[in-house]
Amino acid sequence: MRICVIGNSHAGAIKEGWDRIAASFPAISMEFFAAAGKGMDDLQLSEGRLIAGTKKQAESMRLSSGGSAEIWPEHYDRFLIVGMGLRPPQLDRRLSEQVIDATLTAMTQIAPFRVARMIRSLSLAPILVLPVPLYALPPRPEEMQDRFIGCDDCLNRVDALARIEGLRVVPQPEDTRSSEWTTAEKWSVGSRPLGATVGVKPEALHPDGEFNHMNAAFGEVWLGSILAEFANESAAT
Amino acid sequence: MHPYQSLDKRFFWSAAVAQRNMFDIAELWDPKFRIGPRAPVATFGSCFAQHIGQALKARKFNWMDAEPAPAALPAEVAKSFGFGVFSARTGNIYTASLLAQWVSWALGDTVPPEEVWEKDERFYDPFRPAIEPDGFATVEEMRAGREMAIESFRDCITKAKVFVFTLGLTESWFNRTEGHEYPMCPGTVAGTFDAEQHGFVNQDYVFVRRKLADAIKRMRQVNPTLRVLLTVSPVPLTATMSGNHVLVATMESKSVLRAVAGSMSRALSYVDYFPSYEIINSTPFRGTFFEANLRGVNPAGVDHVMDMFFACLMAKYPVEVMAPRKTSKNKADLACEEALLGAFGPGKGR
Repeated sequence: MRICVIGNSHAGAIKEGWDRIAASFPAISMEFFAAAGKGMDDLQLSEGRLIAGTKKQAESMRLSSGGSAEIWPEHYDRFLIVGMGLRPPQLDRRLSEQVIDATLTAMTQIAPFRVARMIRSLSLAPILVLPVPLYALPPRPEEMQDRFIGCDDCLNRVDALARIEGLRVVPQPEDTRSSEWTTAEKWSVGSRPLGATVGVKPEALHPDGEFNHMNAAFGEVWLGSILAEFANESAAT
Repeated sequence: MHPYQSLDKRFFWSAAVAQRNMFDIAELWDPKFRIGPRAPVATFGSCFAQHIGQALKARKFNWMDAEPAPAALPAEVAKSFGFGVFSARTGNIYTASLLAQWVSWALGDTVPPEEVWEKDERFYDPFRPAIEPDGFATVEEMRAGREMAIESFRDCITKAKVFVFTLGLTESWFNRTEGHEYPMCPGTVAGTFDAEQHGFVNQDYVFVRRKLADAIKRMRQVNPTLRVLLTVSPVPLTATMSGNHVLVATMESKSVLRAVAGSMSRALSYVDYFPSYEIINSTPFRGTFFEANLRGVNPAGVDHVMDMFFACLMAKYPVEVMAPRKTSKNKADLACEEALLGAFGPGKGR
């Protein structure tokens, strides 16, 4: 099974997770195309493939993929789109259904879904969208007071909209969380920038106090659960 | 030697106005207090107040958005739900008495009435009738939404350094039984008009001044350092119930509001008046700043008003003001419920 991972800096943890467990999945190969920040938002559809929209993006894609700045969807059996701005929204429960609907619908138009639609126009392979991890910080008081619509409830509603187009949103694993809205701190300790995870700056670490990016262990847990699911699907078919 | 002989030239019409190009008429405002880029500024009032908020935001001043839209909501959709228009989702607050009513709710002095408007199984907030374009799904949802707006309005009162309020109308509609005021005549944007229940009041100088003074006094009780900047909307009435011709009614209404703003500004050291009304409306500007309908203020007018605002502010209290980020030039961008009255003119659907 060939898996294509497209993402921003948050794909780094998935890459590191893969490096840890690849040996356990000999039938799976995985290729990464990533750029920090909004670097991957400029992907463009061109003659059956996805290409970089800028020179900088092309360079990032080459570095992360090991040489290629083009994504040929027909070459892959599964796609994972990681981060790229999909963050569960904190919607006050008192907002109207109209506002909530409009917000969640708008979320299906942001970068990861735009990329997913480009792929879908060329491939029927399953496409999974992984949101940005929850912050590895202690929960704020308002996050503990049931003030917001649940994190997973929001993502499930985005998922329901995305499934109409054959896309899936995969929430962050339950056992990596310290609360509904936060990741347990241990999953962030020792996280590395994207450049480090793809071998460009192997020794680089995020500064102390980094809470937005997760580490290899986090990537291992999340990717492991997804690959196990893929394995079950393959066995079932 | 008489007193006029020592006056600066800006106090003489000929030198300050008649001999100048209209765009060179300057120093129209002598700010009473500094508004620094970090000072939280809340803006509320009639339609024209939106421009002040937008201009502050565009220049990276600390415009308060106490009830922000969900981050993922596109800006134009957010605006259609009343987000980012004023500092909270109050909708237009056209009169001084409506301001006093919102202050009273926000500070817990009174509670909002139970009244709800219903149409086609959707529910509308009588005090924010256009805040949800298709109404609310349930009464509970409507009340919860208003609770958020009141909470956010309270934040503005208690946390702002400067509260900007644009006086828009003297003509108003009240509930005869319970005494509360509506921002719009029931039955226009939503609701059903009931002549027994709904009464028209054209507020006079004494009434407007008392209500404005009450509101400001109450706000200062909970935020003693709060400063208030008043403006008067230059936008004419869409329609009048006064019995006078709409042009005459407009002039009377704006004159009352202008007089009250001036009086408050002279009486209270923490209240100032910024003359956006004069910049748009006075004769030297020859109506240049109005749209073709002679009602809406065109983007050049808005820019001129706001450029004047920041120029006067910087002249008195030098501070680095960022060049404005590009803002929308579309007149339709303004959220203005009162303009909807135009749909009820002769020959229009009712």
